Amino acid sequence: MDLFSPGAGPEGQVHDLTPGVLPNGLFWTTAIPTSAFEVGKRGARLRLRKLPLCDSFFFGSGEGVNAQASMTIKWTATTDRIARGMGTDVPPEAPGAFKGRFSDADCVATVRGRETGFGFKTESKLDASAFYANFGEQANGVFLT
Amino acid sequence: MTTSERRLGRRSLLAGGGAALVAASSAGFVQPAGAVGDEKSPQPDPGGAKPAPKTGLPTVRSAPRPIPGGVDSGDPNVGFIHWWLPGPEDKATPTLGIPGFGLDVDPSTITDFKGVSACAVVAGHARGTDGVLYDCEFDVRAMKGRYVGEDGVERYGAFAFL
Repeated sequence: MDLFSPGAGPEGQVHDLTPGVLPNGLFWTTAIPTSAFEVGKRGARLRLRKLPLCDSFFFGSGEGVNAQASMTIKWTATTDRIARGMGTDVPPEAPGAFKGRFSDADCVATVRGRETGFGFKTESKLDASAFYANFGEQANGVFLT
Repeated sequence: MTTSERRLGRRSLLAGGGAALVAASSAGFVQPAGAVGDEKSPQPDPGGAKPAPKTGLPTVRSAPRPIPGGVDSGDPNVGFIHWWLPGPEDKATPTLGIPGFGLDVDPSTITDFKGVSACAVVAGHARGTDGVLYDCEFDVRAMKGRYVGEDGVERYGAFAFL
């Protein structure tokens, strides 16, 4: 979750809120309540409240302070489900080493965050119109056999 | 390396895209407390261990394993990034400028997983308590379903990449 000085681009990153990295390499990924994430035929929703995070201020800083964030993120399908992934046709390390069916989607988000001395709230909703979003069902690893 | 040189962000480290088949290495961040485990899953644990004895310790389920592939950041403070970026190869994230890796790209950051998932890169603005209107970019994923944890036991849980 990145904040940048206005108009400064990547070099202007001033906040970088993430769950950190586990010793096994699990990257910026944390457990959440199963009730926080729901997927239906035409949409999906993620709702998190006061999730503990670490603000390292900018990517790779090696520093950090405790932070927390709350967010509501909603996906709305813009396509029917499309088959994605190449499963076991590629090596396990390949980006396509999964199989699933996904809908491309519109996505909007509202986010609030806080830490000692600073807080923020999204000004109108964030959206995925400039890049990409999807949701669906998938399998990888041992579940590909 | 000066602070200015290190403030390259993800863009310069990941702008090349593609797979880096490098052995995983751990990075030096510590996860915030309380981040692992789901003690109140509504689903029965299909292969869960017996309840822990009453030691006063919290019940925490085994963490999932990361996907084996990803990108080598080249930064010793970051290490190997078990992550891909689903998205059109002719588009880039609006602020960091990271190009999409394609659409046949695993959105999950955990492996040995079967369930539902979602991904998005959302962008816009956020108002800080200092009055500044910041640019904001947010790569978010969510996964929920069955997974095989580090202990080799299959469980049911949910995870978010932020």
